[in-house]
Amino acid sequence: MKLLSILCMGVLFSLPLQANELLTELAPNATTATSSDPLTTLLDRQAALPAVEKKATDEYLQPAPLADIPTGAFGDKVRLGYQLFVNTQQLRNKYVGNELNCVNCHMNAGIKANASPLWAAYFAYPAYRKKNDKVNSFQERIQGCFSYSMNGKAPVSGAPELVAISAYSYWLGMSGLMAQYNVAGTVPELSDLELVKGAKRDDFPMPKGISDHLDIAALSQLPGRGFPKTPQPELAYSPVSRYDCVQSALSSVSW
Amino acid sequence: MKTSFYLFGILLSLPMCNVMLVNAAETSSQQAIPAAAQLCTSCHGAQGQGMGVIDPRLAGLSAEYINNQLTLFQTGKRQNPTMLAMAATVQGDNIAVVSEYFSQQPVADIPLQFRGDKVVISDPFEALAFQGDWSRVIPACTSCHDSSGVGGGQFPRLAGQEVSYLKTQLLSWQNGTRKGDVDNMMGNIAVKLTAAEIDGLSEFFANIK
Repeated sequence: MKLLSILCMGVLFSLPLQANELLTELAPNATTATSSDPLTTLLDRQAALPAVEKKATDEYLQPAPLADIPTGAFGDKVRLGYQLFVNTQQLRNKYVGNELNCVNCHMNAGIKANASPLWAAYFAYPAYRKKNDKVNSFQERIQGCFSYSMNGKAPVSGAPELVAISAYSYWLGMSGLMAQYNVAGTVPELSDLELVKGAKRDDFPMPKGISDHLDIAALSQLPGRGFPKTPQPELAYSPVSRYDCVQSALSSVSW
Repeated sequence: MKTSFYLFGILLSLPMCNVMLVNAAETSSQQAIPAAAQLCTSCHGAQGQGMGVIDPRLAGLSAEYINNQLTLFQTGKRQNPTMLAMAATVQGDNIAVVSEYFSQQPVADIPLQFRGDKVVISDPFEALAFQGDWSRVIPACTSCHDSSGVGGGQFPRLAGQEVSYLKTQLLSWQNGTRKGDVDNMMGNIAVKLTAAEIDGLSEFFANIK
């Protein structure tokens, strides 16, 4: 009977304790449901991305709706580009080594201004990149995405995936420019070889109705082309210095 | 024999009859329902399958999500009179036990629709689900709730969930009676949805079974 009474007392004590815990939980939270509560506080110390006001003079390209992508071989490449862009995980373990899809950063399927839109990127390449210290064609820039952002293995130059993403980027940009400058007709089709180069080059077939308004330099700097500049993080990222930190912390401990 | 007599005595002395039901369930069904989950099953079903209009399905939700929601009910960030009382009965280690149990219950296999499978989507709610509406800064539901809205991790499964529940939740996010996700993501999205879109999206995801 001793065991029984001890157990029963244990049960009886534990019940009101639970109720008390509940009450103390409720009291502070009912009044302070702010952004500083621990459930929504991120461990990451990076500042939130600032919202960038659109300048009155800025005019962002408005690519044609996806329903306007033409039927046929060229249109199929554009559509494949869209599909790869929003579901890049279909290339997992082939070209993609992490859980990302392109659209995670390049929002609205690479259309949203100030989220590094494809329509702006296409007219900014070929260009020199410090990262690999050479002039990169558009497909080389996309290869960089696979190697670094996607932590994978880039498709070889001229691979159907690179042609498709180039075709999609070109189609978004060109349809947007044609709408902006009232150029009639459908987006001119380009060969695969032309598509993967990018549009920042003298021999790019730019419709006259557009080149009359924007030269190559202007096209390579379309408004809304990047991500807004963010403040420097408080701590510089460096795995090496973190190791050094641990080392110096260890050495300062008196054993 | 002495020990079992004591155990029997303890069971009788407890004011919670559901503990006894556990023992009955443990002997009759193959997968034992943990004692802590017993009360939940009276509304959500023995396997968390839901009970029609009244109670949402728990099967198909991740343990992480159920765990988090129990805490949110207890702290009042999710406001629901019934669940405030019910969630209070699950405390401490039992939160993980209950979450684990329901997360392991089966849901119907559905063919997955991935983003991009359809390039042009004519149904406006399906378009919202798979492409969003960025002119109003509404991201695609499936960008977080995964292909066909099957969910995962901190994002609940929407596919096949009770339609009235989905609708109530979107309205709760809208009016602020449901909170507690990271950065009020869902609140920010829900306030941009029209009444027709809330109805349409709820129907759309409920019908994926």
